[in-house]
Amino acid sequence: MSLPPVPSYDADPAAVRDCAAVLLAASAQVDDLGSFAAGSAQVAGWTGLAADAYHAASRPTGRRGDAVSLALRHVARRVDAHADALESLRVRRDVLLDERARLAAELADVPTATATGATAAVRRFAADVAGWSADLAAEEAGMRAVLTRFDRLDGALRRFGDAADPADAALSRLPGHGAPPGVVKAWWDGLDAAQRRAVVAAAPGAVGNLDGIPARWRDAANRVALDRDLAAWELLADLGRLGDDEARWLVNARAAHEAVATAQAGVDPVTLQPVPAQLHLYDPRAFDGDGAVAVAVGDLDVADDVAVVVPGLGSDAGSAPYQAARAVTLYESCRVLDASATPAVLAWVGYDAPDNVPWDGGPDAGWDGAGVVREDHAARGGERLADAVDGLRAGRDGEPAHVTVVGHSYGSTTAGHAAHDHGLPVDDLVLVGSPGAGGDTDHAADTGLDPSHVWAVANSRDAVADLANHGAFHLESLAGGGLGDDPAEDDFGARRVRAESTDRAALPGLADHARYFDHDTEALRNISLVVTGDHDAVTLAGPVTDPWWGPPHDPEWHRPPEAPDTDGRP
Amino acid sequence: MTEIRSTASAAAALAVLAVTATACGGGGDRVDHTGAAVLERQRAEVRATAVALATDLSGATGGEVQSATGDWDGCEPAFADRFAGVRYAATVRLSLAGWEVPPRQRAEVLAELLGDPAEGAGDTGALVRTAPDGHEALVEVTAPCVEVPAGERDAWLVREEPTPDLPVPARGR
Repeated sequence: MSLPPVPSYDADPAAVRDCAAVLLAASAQVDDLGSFAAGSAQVAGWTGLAADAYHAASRPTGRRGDAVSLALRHVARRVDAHADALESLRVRRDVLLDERARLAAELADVPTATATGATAAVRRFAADVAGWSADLAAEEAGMRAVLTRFDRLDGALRRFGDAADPADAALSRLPGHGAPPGVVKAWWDGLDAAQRRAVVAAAPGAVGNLDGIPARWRDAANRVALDRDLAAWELLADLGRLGDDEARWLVNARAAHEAVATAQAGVDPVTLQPVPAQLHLYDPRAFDGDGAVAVAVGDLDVADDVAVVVPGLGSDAGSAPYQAARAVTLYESCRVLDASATPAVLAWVGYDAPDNVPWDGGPDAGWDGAGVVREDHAARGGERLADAVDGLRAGRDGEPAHVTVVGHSYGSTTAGHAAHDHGLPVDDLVLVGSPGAGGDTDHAADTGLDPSHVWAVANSRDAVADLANHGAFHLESLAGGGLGDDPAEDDFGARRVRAESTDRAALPGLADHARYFDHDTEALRNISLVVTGDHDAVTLAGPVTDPWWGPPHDPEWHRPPEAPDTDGRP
Repeated sequence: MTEIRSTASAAAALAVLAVTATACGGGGDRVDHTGAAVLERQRAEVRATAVALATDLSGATGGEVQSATGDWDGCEPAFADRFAGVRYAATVRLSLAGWEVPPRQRAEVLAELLGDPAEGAGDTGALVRTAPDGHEALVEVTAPCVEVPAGERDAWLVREEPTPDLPVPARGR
């Protein structure tokens, strides 16, 4: 009695999925061509023989473009489904391999005379292998049929030449600019699946950054937009025809691409499976070319605990890979500390942070670093942040998430403004390495949250945290300078957590300002516990005090730091 | 050593920061001060180590390599939300399906088979982890962080790895 072999299998579902993304981006590009030919390329008021000839030639080009776009979209969807099928077949094959190993061990121990049961098991196994092979063959045949049907222009025209784009009717009902996220969500819920897919493919820019659209659809749209932009600008670069603006946008697009790759390379420390990644915000042209990018690690639509990490000085689209790596680290820590948690961490570069400091980048780099000691950027960014969190909440179905905003450095000032000025709808607010919570936020209660849900994370060597106002002297009263009060100080009323690092420097400096999200640090552990809602496990630190008769005093200065495990690695 | 926090005004503190940043290179102090050539060399070393580990692991278990890739990663956070350095890292995902060892015992047996995977890896760190269900193993090989000049950091981060797939020999059932 012999066991049939399990057929070899070298399919790469990830590569197939990449192919689907390329096809979808191509569909968007061709759709743009069709729209151009039918719209801007038509010259109103131009008449005569030449005009007739021009219009007679250009209109069919537009129609052909639309048909080809729809065909590409159709094929892309089928290729994406093919990737799902290949992945499913791979999992089934792994089960067959394990079953074969188990049967082989069993057969080696079974005497021939009592092998009836084993024979039946082998027959069942053989049938399962045959079924798997048949399913694989059927899937490949189906995929080939679709590719063959649309491998020529006439195939696309036959099927889609007179077809209406489902996106058109859907987009005609798109809520106007500034519509509340709830209205946007209601519009989206009113579309059927085909319309949603069509909108994502035909007009990714219309929904990719629209608050109220569910995160997985924003991700789908933004990936189409990103792939389309990269293809277009890389081509212009190759041709030597890239303008200055486009060159900046290309840098931002590449950074967004790298940020997504960084997030996707993350591995869940509990299951060892890849973590979901979402491109939640992609606007390479935003803020005069600084760009806006937000990448999530985890699924924002279904996570029980959502953290929005707001970076500070110098953050722009170019820093997105760094922010994505930080999000991976926080996600890993949340999972290591609570294996039952379902977190999602959004690295949000969605506001115009002050540019880098003047000594970094050279004299020609340009900077608005003066903004770092003023609150203008934080005040404007706070409004955007509150809108973004509103959008996150509105885009979800089912139970509301436990949402925490984690503002680092100048990002904590931005978060403070979002809370004080715009009623930031969060459950917890974490101010990390804060140079000030904003001029109008003198106390944790001024954020609108219960002070027990406002957390200060500041280590004793962080020179940036020292920038915040202490004691009774408030710098914001002098010509608008300064960023507000120190959240780690006793009279602010927040809960200060332990945040020292075993690598901390002897003196205050900038290095310790950048260590709050390092693995195996007190800060990352405590931030993670706030994010997952395990507040009782947070280790608290004594607040900074600043008596009127002397300078500030930090009780954490002499405490030996600990190195808790946050990555699960030995 | 004082435990007193500065009461400097924001403007004065910014000036202090400028001096501090200049003194420490504007970033962390735990990176190796070497050049880009080191990164090219460590690329070869990490890839070779990952391929060797994947080959050993595949040979010992009969498992198939699901994916094997390498790329440069940012490392060592610096002030103003950037990485101060870059390092090469490789990851190999291996299916253990079909291994005669029952899934629940695979992590333990694998650890015994491999010993310390970091041994013989030189300056690179190597780690092999097994999924809780015993169906997959993950090999992670990383090189030490190498500082790169501030003006080159972003370019390194988005640098295209010419051949991300590692040359792991086809093997398995």
